[in-house]
Amino acid sequence: MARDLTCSLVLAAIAVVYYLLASSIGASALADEVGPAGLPLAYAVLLGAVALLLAAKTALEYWLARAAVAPQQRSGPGMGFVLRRAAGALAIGAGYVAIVDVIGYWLALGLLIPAMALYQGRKLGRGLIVISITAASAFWLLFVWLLDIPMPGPWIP
Amino acid sequence: MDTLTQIFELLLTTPLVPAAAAGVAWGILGGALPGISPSITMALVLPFTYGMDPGSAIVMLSATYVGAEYGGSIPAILINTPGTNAAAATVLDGYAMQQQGRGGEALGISLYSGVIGSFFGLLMLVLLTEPLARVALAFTPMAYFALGILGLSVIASLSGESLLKGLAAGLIGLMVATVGSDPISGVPRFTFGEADLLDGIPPILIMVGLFAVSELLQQSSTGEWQKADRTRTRLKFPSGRLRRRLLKPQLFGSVIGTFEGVMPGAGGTIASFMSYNEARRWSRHPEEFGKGSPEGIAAPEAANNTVAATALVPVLSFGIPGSNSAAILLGGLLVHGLIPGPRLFEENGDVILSLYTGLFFATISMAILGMLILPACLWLVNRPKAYLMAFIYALIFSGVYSIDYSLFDLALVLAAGAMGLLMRLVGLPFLPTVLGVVLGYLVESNYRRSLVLSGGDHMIFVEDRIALGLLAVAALFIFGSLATRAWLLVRRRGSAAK
Repeated sequence: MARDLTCSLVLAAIAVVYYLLASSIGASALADEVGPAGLPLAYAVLLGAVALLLAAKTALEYWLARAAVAPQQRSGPGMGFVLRRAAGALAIGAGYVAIVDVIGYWLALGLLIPAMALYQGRKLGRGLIVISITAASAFWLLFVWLLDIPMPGPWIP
Repeated sequence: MDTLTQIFELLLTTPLVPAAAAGVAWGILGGALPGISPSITMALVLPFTYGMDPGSAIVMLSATYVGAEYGGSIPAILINTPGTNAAAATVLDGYAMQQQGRGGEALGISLYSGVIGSFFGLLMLVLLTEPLARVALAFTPMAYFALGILGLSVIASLSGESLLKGLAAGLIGLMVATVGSDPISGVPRFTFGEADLLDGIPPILIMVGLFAVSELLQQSSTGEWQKADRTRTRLKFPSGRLRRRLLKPQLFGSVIGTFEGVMPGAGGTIASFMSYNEARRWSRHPEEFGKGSPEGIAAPEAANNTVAATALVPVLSFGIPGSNSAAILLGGLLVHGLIPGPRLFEENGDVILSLYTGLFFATISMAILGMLILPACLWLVNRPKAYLMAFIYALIFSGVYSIDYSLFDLALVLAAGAMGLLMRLVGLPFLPTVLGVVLGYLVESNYRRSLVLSGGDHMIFVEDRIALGLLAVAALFIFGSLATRAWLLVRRRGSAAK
């Protein structure tokens, strides 16, 4: 119930934002009858309608089942916990994208791998450092040396 | 004779056999990791294909798919956790055999049936693909628009529990496909002044983000995988008598796998459960099913390996991916500048021949590597998940950067990953979104071109016979899916009332 309602709210928000952006698409002398904004606007309206229908269906199902079914116990981690953990992992990835051009591919990987492993619960120690350096070097050898990919950054061993 | 000469030439001039073997090995390892689906395994191998000739690249991707379908059965049998969705049916009897100390026999049946299914699927792929692609030679813009609608109509059967959520996911994909220059007037749309977005968002970035990054983000909130017992298991091929007993379930699996693979949207999971059900129904020992029946492994494994080949039929013929893995393969074709359809067969016949030849060697490789690689799979499954996740993250970044040497692409993949995680949390399926992204441009550009041709008259879609036929099939598909959905709902309510 809560998940479907959240879903319909998220969809409605996407529909509104996308509609507003589609409305501001510039006109062109070369445009056809439908125009560059024609289908995007239609998609936004359709998504809005789907969001409304989903909300209505969820509310109806809740109303029909309220008396008959006891609330179910949630199993597994809650949405808030999953989002917080995922935000951390995403931040580590974003950090890699932000620094790789500055410090170079090998060093950035040498930071990404232990950061992710530590975040996933490994303890900081010699093993982690050795594995990180070995893995970063293996990736460098594979992509830069073997596959000849010009990886970003000025500092590459 | 000409074809045989061409095949020998291909084998001598391109690394087809190594690509097939490497793809299968990678696929088995990836499929063996719980949570790492065939599509994720394929997305991770993509960067290694950029530097290859298109034929070897496509062979490596499709061989990965073949290998992953077998790899998925390893944790299903050994630790009661399917490595892939399609291996879920294998759990039922595979794990029961493992508990009886017959895990090695179960793995042998899985590998043997997978090889049979793969050969059958390859035969069907060769027989069906080109005749279907020839149909597309007569296509007009109206027919291409109708083909796009037919592809999108698959959403009705891909939506899982909620049709509305499937529709919403498909619309999100169509919205993503509108980013970039307008196909008719060239006006920039949703680019926010960013030059990198003028050419649109490459579908492959969305696929890697949705499948691989979102899985990684979600895995960051779950614990360790269950560990496998490395001491007891040694793969054992079935005896002659058992092989005769397995023929019938393998035939069920292969035929159902062909049908489900060719039908966009059906996929390996449905095929394996359907074939399991049919094998039980027609078995002389139905009472053994669920308690360690060899037939209960043979049917689903033959089915999901057949699907790995036949799912390529709609991709190669029309460019319509029927499953996540087929969508990644389509992404691989597009990255190498190969457009599916009849022209692919005319202009890049060598690529198609490479694919068929490579899949043949991939199947042979699977039979050999399936035995050799088992210890490596068990070792990998027993590694700390934290390191595997960290290496996968590094592999995603290195691989995506290798496409266009663009840091902007890395940011896009992360954004797609975040979108994928949100979609997982609110229960939106991925494949409708991928279909929207892949087919959005085809639908919009041909719809508008058709209207330019007709001066705005929509009757042009009815007057074009191919377009009308395709739209009729799409309508049938949608109504069929809706009817099936309604029937299942009524049956479920009936059972609940009892």
